[in-house]
Amino acid sequence: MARMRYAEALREALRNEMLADPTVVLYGEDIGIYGGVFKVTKDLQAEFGELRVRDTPIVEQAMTYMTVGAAMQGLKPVLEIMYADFLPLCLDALVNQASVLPYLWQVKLPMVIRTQGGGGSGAGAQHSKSLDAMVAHIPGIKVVSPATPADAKGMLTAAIRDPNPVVFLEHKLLYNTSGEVPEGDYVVELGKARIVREGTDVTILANSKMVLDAEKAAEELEKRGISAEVIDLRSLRPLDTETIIASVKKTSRAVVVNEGWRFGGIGAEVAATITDQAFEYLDAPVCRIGLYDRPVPYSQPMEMAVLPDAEKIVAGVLAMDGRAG
Amino acid sequence: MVLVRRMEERLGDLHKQGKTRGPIHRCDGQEAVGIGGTAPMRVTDTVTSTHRGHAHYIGKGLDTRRVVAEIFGRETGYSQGRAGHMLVADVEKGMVGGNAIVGAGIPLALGQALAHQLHGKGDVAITFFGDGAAQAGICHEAMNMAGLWKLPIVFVCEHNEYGLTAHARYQSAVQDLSIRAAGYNMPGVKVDGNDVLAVYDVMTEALERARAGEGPTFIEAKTYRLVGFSTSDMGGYQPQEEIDAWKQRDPIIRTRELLARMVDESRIVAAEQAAIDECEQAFETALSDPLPDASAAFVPEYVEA
Amino acid sequence: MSGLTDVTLVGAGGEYMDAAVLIEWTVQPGGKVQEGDVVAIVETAKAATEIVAPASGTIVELLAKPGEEIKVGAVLARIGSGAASASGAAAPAAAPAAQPAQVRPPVDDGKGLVRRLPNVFASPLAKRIARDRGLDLSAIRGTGPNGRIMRADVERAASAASAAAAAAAAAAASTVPASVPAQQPAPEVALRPQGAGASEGYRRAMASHMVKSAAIPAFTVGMDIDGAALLAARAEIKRQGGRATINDLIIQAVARALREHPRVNAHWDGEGVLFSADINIGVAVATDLGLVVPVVHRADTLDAEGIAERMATLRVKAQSQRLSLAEISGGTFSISNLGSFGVTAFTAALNPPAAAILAVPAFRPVTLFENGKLETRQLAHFSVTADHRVLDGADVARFLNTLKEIIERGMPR
Repeated sequence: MARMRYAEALREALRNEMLADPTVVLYGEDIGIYGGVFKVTKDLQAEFGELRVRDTPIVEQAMTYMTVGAAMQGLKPVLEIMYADFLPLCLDALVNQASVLPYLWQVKLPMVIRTQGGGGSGAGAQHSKSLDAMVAHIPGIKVVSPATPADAKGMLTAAIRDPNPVVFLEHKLLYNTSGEVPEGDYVVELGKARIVREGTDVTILANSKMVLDAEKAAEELEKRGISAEVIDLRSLRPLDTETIIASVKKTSRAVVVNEGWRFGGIGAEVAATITDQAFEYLDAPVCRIGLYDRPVPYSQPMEMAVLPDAEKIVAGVLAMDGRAG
Repeated sequence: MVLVRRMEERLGDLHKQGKTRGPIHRCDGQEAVGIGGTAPMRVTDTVTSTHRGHAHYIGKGLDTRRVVAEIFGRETGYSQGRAGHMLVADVEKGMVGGNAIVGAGIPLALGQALAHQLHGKGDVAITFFGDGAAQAGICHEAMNMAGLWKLPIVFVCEHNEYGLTAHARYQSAVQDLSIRAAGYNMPGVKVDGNDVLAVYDVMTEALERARAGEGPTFIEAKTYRLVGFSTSDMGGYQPQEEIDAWKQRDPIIRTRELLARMVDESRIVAAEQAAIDECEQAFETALSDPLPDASAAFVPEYVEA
Repeated sequence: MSGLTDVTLVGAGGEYMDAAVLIEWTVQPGGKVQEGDVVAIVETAKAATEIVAPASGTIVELLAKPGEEIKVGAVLARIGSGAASASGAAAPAAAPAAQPAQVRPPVDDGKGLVRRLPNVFASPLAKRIARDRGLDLSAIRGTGPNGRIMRADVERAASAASAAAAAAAAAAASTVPASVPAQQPAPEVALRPQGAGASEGYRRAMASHMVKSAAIPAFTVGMDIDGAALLAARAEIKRQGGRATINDLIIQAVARALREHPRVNAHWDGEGVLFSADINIGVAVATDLGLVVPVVHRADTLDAEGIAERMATLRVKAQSQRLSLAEISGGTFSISNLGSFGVTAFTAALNPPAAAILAVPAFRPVTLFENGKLETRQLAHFSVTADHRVLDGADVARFLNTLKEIIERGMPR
């Protein structure tokens, strides 16, 4: 075990895989010479050379296509997209190629697209989004988001080894969080959720940084005599339905927290799944907590007001039974 | 070329009989680019094509019957009928593959070239695209990176003068697209796309450059689309004089004339007939192949390692 | 066969109804019915419901027996239109030439979705728990948002129901004569909104029963009875840890009295008086749906504790609508006790087919001038309403005298 930052854990996963497998290559803007704007790829170009760690021009659309093409031809490319807000540029290659070609042709696409999203740092409307739901909607790809440094390493390792395209969602406010990370070869299976905290009265389902907010909310709820079970979804596509349903059947109440927009968001899919499979266990409708359905404003009081947080989660739980805060 | 022409004509007939499904994009008149261009390639060179790729498919060595089967949604098709005529591929033959998104093949080929470069076997990525796709952002993005990184890739612009119904003069700021190559640090070569031997020569040279590590080449092959954009094309935007002028330069006619100067007429006729027979045979077999079971649509979402 | 109409059991619109128990036929084979006439009464988990004739005609055959369970969609009976087939007398086509096409009543044959409109708003979990425990959601008050019934509400009602059964028994026993008998009203399990849909079927069944009751020629005879011995007996039982209440003791006394007056235990069977070998006493119980009358069968063979035990069980079942057919039928005599409500006198309505019903009000202190001095007695004005086809005033008066003697003399244990 070693204590390290989330960004360092990611780097360790990349480096370990590049050492073990010569077909693992990295593409992205500013990842080579500069080491990445979040320093995730620091010194990797120096170690592995320019052919394996390439700085690209600012061409997200072609970069994503290129990643698909390379993956088709026996490479394991890991593409860094600097901000999740640029994912729409990647969507063409994801939706029309990465999702389609393995269904039609005898090809596998062992590619990873790493990106980071999330608000709370005053980055403004075009650099603060979480477009989880947009990519989770696409068939044939996996969409995951680690919340802890250990998961960052374990899940990125798994993603690189996965023969399917994986969109790997990091969070700008998580890069500097620290935690215990197992050393050496460490894999966290994709598609499995993590029970962060056990409880009996309500299930709080969250992913990425929202997991930390959910944990805070659970502590606050405990003071009010409500025992909350917190689950880190980890994987948005596929969902770990088994874990979700087992928990809801136990508690009879569910709250889904995701930093993307509420309408048509991750919460909506999880809520529908719960209604589908645990209808008669629900004592209240599933509560969805998401980003206010508008762009993220810049000024701090406004930005904080629109983002989901522990306080809003607590309020949501209380409202389920008709109680005010 | 004869085979491909026959194929296109047959498809046109079947469409008129209402036996085809979805629009089909014929390449009548452009066959020399695809046939001449693929001829000097290795099997391990990779080709990305367009929505109008029948000549590319056949040229790269795909089985006519399986191509036709795919066009008619049969389970013997290259994708068991899942793909249709615009998305035909055969990984083993290096055809990776047709694409219905305009310009998509270009950056895909870029990725393939990156792989070829790392694998170090001297294989080349070739991408065929039209003058319409040449205007797409991803074309420029890819050409820039190819020139920047000196990748083993050949860009073949099959300039048939029309992007859907709009003539190139309404779509492009310049008419000779090969001049853009200089902007991306690669040679730009203009060639008569209806001269199959000229195309062959130009491609041979480009492949050699790429294999030698000298980077990409941009080939602009001037040709013309004799039949409409697709079988759902209402027509009327290609002036008849224009079509007639280009018919004079039909690659098949020109090649036949060239061959007639070199070999006996009977051999030419025999070769043509053989191609037509092969095509007819392929159609006959393919059209009697079974449709897939509906359950074939439902495959597991993810592949296992 | 042409000209026959099936009478089928359709979903009564209540939730979870997939079968019902046939309680009774109200028609006989050969009987004539009009479209809309009641032909049978069935009982579902929630309510008694009437089955009506979907067409006019003659009952050709009855395909189920009282007590049998029938699945929704099953055919219960057949109604024939036109004359019943006489053997060869008429022209070969017994039915007239204008033969009506076979009319099928609307059946839920699976096309479209069965609409189960919510009568109450409850969370899915609350509904499931209520269903599993046999609780009527319409009787439960919801504390969730917008009055939604939550799991906690159902669980509270479930424990209240079992507590209520015990409380009801206790309440009946605790008629405190000293003060004005302001008894507690029936325990508050049954807070229900007016016109709750689930009880509609039950109400209709009750209504038709009452109409029948009112059609019988009846009269009432009353008599004051002193409750001193009864109250003393009850106190003694309590001291000894027994559970028999005043009401149980009254039932026991009635059973004894009926032994000596078999005509009061008889009934009119349509043509004459039919005596009954058994003494089965129906005891009216107030539930959320309304009055139910579970029957203590062969009550004369039970002692007070036995009656108490039987009544306790029947009360709980009555409150949760779980009385079986057997438990509500076969009554030969009925008792209605409104004493716990503080009622000082009332006339009970007949509960056919029983020929008589005893109305028991509260005991209240009455001061009399007797033997030259003022005496205070705990008196209750018992009255019996009787079917005049079976009984006359003297029969009833004699019965009441016997009852009075048994109650005032003290119950032999």
